[in-house]
Amino acid sequence: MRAVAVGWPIVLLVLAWQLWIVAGNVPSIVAPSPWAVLVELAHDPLLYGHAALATIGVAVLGLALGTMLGVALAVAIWLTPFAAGAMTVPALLVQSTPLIATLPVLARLLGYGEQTVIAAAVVITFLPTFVLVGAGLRTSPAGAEGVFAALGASRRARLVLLALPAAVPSTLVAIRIAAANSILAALIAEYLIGQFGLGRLFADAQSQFLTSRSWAASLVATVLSVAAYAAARRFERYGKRFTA
Amino acid sequence: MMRRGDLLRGAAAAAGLAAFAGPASAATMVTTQLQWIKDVQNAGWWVADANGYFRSEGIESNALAGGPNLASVEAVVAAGRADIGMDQFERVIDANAAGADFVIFAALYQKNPAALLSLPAHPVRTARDLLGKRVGVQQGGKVYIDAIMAVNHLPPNYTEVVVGATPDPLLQGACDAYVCFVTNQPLQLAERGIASVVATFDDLGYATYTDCLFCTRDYLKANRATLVHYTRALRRGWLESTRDPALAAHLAVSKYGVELGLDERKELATSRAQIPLLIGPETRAHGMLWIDKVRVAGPIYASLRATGRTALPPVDRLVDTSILSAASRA
Repeated sequence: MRAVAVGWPIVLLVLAWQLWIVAGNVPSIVAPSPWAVLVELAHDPLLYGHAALATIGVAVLGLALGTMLGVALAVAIWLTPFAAGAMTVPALLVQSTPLIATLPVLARLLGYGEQTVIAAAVVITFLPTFVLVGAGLRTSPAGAEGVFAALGASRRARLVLLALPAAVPSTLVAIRIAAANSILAALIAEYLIGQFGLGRLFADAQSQFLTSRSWAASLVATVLSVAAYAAARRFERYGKRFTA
Repeated sequence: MMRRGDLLRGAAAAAGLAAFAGPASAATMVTTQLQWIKDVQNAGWWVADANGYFRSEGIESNALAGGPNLASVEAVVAAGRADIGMDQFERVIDANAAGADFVIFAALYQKNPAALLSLPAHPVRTARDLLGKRVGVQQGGKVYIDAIMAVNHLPPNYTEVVVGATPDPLLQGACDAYVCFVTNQPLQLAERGIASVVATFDDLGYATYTDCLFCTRDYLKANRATLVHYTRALRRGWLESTRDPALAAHLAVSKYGVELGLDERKELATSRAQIPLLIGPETRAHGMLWIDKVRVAGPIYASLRATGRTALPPVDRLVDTSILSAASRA
């Protein structure tokens, strides 16, 4: 019942898509029908499986490294207020520049290869963590700071016992926000300079007018993004049971 | 009884007649989907428009910018959003293989402007020089390097490095050769005082027309007269751009591509560099924008077979030179 409640707009959308192709006599190089996309997927599932695994690998690595980097920088700022000025501006700059513009810079620093594709995913995922964890570190329960001060706790003890636990919920929120974006970042980087993955598959298919293949790659990428978001949300709920 | 379709056709014919009655009446709009952004590489359209060549042929030209964000020129034309498209010969072949029905009726560059750029320390002059080298290509360019190796009966023993549109990776040593356009990156290096070695794809055995003008077979059948007028005006525009490359560059920078913030010096360099590509023995014999069926059937089809495209259409079905021939007659 729940599947019907959630799924009916998608079914309607696919039907409208098929109708548009058939009724409008749309040429296949403009857009394929959903049926053609499904046939393409069923015809060569391994091709999409391998490409999806490569993209997931990049996204997961990017998310993990980006989250670690975000937490590390947020903690550095918590420890030394001077670091705030040194890091916040570059962090914002990197985030507000489109990936297409930062990618050549990354490639120049890291080389033209998979390491740069992963770095692109790191760049996209680290800022939400950096900002949200930075804020989370300052949301300790009222009076707790006073208790720690009265007991003469060291700065390190306050970080480990007070600030870091306080930042856990916002870290989980950051991962939820960054998870789907990490898939997107992997796709863009693969599309532009990658050797593997769904982004590369899409680029190759597009250059050969294999519209069913490029749309099938897009469909798999969409499913991955939604799955990444859903998994991250579930992870967030699971984590919150321990922190509430 | 007269059906609605007949009525519409009658009205269209009347409008067509009116279009050629004089400059005061409404001109026939022809929309062209360009391959690239509105820079001097599309000079013919700008000169023909600014100098009134289109107007005197009863044509109003509407040129749509292409560029890296366009999915494909062919999809735009197939969807009816443009009457005429401009793209590589291979792309039109592939689109037809994927179900479209396009006819190529003219070509701009007579030589393939794609080339391999290398530095004098490790020069690449022949396909054999590529063996064991790292070749910088933009995404999708690998197929051409494979074809060059195949045409020259060499194994594809090289390393692909996917790079961007600037030759920096070559200078940084990230690759040994870089796929460029002779009208672009070698000029950039020359401006910076860097010597380079250029081997065009033509020299390396890969022949093609990179800028074909095509339309659907239906459009060609229904609008033959319009196409002849359009082609005649465009030819004059391109010819004038080779005589006055500075005007072409100025029009691109100050009017048609004004929102792009183009550098007039660079545009002028490109405008001059493309003159030898636009003019060849065939254009001297038949006029600008000529496309040669013998060249298509010979070296171009041989190159395409090397890329694995075995089911090539009969040349007469794909290429129609009757528009160019009609445009030559005043």
